[in-house]
Amino acid sequence: MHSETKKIMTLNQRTKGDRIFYWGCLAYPIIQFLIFYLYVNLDSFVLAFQSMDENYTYQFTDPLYNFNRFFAQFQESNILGRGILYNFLNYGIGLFIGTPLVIFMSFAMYKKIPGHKAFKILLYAPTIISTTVWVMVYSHTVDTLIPELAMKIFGVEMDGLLSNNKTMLGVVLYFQRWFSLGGGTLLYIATMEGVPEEQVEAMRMDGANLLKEFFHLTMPSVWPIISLFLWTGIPSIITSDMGLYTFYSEKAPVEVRSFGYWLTVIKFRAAENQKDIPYVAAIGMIQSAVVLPLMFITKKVLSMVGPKTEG
Amino acid sequence: MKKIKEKNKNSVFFNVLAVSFIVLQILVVYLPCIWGVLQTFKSRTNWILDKIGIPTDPTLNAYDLFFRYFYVNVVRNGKPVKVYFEGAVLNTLLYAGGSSFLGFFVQYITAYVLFRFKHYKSSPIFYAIIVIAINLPLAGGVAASLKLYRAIGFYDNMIGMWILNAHPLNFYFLVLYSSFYVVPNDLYEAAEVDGAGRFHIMFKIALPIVMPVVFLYFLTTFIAEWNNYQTCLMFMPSYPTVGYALYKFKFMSSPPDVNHTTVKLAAAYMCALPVIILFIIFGNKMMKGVSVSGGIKG
Repeated sequence: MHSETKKIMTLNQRTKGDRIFYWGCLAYPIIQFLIFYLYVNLDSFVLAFQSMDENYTYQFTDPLYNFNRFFAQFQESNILGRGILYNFLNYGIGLFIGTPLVIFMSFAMYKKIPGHKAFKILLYAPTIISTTVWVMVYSHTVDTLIPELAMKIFGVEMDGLLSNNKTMLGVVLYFQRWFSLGGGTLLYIATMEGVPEEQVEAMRMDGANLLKEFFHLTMPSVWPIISLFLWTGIPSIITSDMGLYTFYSEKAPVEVRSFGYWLTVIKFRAAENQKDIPYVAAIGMIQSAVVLPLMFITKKVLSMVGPKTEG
Repeated sequence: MKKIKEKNKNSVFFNVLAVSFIVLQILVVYLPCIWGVLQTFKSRTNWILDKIGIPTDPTLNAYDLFFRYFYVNVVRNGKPVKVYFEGAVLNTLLYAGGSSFLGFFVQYITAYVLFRFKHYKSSPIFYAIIVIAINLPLAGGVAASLKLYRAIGFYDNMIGMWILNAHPLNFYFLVLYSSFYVVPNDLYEAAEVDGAGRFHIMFKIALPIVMPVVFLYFLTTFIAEWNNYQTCLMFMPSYPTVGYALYKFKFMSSPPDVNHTTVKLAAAYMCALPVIILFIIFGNKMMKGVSVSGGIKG
């Protein structure tokens, strides 16, 4: 009897100890979440309806001021509308050119083309280098090296591609895609390798060629990643500054300004000049209102249209 | 069997097409880098005369100018301060190191506790909240964060930034959580029977098993923070990190000798060098880790 009671007591103590351990370990993450996620986001909602007065205090004097300011700015200037178009263009190029190219390269390396091991390293390595470094190397390449080569080889005089109004957008969009191609390959290869070898062999024995294998076996296996990248990438349609802040700081030519760039500039200005903080909050709210439904719709659509595995 | 192997071989056309395309991609990325490196060894005159070729009289002048003029002017505690490359490296080590370590610490503990006690009612709820928060982009956060950080003294404060980055709302939380599936339950029970305490089990038994994921987390977070300039520029303006300093240097008006392609490129390469060294040492492990943690089985 005595040992039974002792056993129950020990068990109770352990359970109690477990609970203390559990809540003790979670205390910090919970507090962190409540303050820096929940409070911050709720406050940003409140901030959107406020403005800052001369004494640097937030007031509800004209609750819709920030929203009206945004829509007025949007209507007054065609730069913002065009900027959204550029953001969509950037996303579209990524979707219809970038993604198929990444999948093609990944499939080739998964099928162990000659040199596939070296290619993996060489394609992945650039992704660990900062965008600022790449922007500097790329800027000097397109603004110095290419015009020099054009002159030397073809005798043609040309401006730097980043300084030329006609070419700068193309150059920026190209930079966005070309330098990020290698990054996704590892994920795709790892997923493709998850397809059981027997399934591949069985398909081959049935006379299937590489193309059929790709569309009927490989594509369904990587579809979850493609789908994940696509719907989680939706916010970037609006927020991506397309690297312009790194290329030009606050002086990007109007011909190339994306909406995301404009947003980035406003955020940096708000960091220096606190008066714009409520304005940034309002833009963020509009942004979330546009992006969230779009994300969920895209996710839903992708889950319906995805390729299905054979067999 | 031989027939199947023959069948499994790629067609020559596919191999040629794929290799050509990938080689082209690699050349487009690497050739400008090689060209850039060569330019950094040219004198200003050599570069003006020939912007394409190899240096005729190699010199380290660009690197010398880089070390002398690569700085950021900041105001710290009301006083103007010049932060040079060494200072920026120190700031980056503190910022990236502290953020990676504390970030890992919080994510590990949260993932471990939620996994180990997943039979508690609150555990799946917390897990779901984290997953939703990771996937839900609430874009207005920057403004309110700026306001809050200023109010509580975290703005322009290194320790404040560490605390801000120490949260479990990160993709690696999910990777860490999943990695606990490989730790057999018997191991915990055996340790408990042997009298091991809860912290001992968490850090001495479970941690070594998920170490590859932890290592990958450290390395990728460290590199990401090393390269990150926008967060520091926005929230920590008087503690320029390497990425931040490079960004400022790119747009800084310097004497003509410094405001020059060879020096700007030397700065870019010097700032990338530590990351390249890390990749040379740990690249293989890192790539394996990315593959393992990222692969979604079909």
